[in-house]
Amino acid sequence: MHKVCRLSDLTEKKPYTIRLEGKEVGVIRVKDKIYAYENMCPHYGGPVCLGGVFGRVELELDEDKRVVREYVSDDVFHLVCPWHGYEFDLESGECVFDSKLKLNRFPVTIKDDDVYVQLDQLEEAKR
Amino acid sequence: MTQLTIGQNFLDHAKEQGIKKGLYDFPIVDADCHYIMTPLEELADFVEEPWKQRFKYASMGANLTTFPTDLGDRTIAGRTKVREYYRTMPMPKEETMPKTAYPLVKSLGPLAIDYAVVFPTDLLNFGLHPDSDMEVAIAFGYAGWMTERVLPADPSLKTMLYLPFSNPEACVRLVKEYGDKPGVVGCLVTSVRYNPVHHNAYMPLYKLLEEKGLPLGFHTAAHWQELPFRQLNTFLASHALGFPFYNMVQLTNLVINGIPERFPDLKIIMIEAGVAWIPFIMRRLDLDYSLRPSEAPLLKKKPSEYIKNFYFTTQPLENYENMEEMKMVFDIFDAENQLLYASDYPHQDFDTPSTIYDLPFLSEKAKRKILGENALKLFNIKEPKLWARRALGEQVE
Ligand code: FES
Repeated sequence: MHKVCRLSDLTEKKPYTIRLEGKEVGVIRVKDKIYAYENMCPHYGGPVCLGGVFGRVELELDEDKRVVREYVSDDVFHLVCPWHGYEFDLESGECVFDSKLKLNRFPVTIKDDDVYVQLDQLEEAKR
Repeated sequence: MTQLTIGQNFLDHAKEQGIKKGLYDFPIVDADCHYIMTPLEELADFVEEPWKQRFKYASMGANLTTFPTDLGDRTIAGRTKVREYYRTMPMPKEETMPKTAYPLVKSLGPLAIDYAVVFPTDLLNFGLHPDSDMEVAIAFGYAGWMTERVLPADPSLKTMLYLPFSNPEACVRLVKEYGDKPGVVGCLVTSVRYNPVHHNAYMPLYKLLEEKGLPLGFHTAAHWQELPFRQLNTFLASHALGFPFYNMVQLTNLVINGIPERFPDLKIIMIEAGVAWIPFIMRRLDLDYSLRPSEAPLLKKKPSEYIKNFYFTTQPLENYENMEEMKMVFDIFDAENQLLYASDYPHQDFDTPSTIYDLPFLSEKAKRKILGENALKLFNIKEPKLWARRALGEQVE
């Protein structure tokens, strides 16, 4: 287990990304949940955790399938790679465009105000 | 613990890939990359009045209304950050390089690029400007500024000169005046325009370029406001269709009107449309030619045979799940010899050299040809230096 930062260091939806034991890891806090992903995009290896977290853009249709509005989800969030914009579901780590492309997620433990990440183990995350 | 940031670490992974894959050990040429804004006030030094005053004054606010631009938010509302990285890169006070080119030059090393053929982003749609005299003034100002101020600033920089294609005679004058300047490796027509490339008025230009051995590039763009594209409600769609569309129009006119028959040694490069459209246009033109050869009397072989002699740039390289399909596309137009790596950096869909180096069906020899050797030969760059190694802290002379 490696201490990455303090809980109070984390800003909502702003990845906190550091180098640790030869790996790069981004810790992300969204709605009191903490995620830790390896800073490595499965597209062309870009620094995915230097990107932003965005609510998924959705389209609302009425019963006749007409578009009512476009809106930003308050439940589903995407981590977006800053190199080319590949979007990854924050819960599952899967790429929106192709679920075979998946981010590496590490287990996170919070003790008091400290955030610990286990770098030698990958966490299977499911949506 | 130090946090990683866009400003400090944006290209770290590209550099690490380059070291790991040995990309710093052989020459890599980027056939198409960009700086963002042309400083009109600096171009003023290279043109006569009344353009001198107009360009000088443009920096007071007319910049935005001088360059026809394409619609669409390239950052996707802040999702992609290459522009942020590029625009916010601090330049040391003692640096003498033109400010607009500095972030590009600083990015080439981490990308393992030794030579970069640079073209201004804001001229990509200049073919839409209604004032032909303005296009000529911009082209000459740009050629002077580029060859005297930008290219000498770093040995890795090369350029293809912007041709004021609305005025064929001015194109010839420009090639005569600037075509032999150090660092000029070709000339370029922006594909988004409405000047038919087969018009008789262009024949002296093609002859001159052929004689000088200067390649002629066609650089495409999206142009969302094109009449049929106005039905498209996303930049995604206009980008997907626009880039191949304009290069298809230019290539079709060139081939069907027998320009390669008339100027067999003229080297033509189709820039920034990826590769997936190439087999499509080959088969499509072959079909129509087979049905109506009387409309293309200069052709002595199938259109696809001429297209095989064109050069193409890689970016934006399409995603293929099936590598056999991708290999077939590469084989169809002899990619090993006709394809040139291009990054399109710092645009949002830039490709690092790994996009080519990682392709499993290419031999090491083919990778090196596409990443550098084809371009070195085409652009006549002799005894190439590994300038990117400067990013590893080495002295390169
Ligand atoms: S490397 Fe992440 S989107 Fe391309």
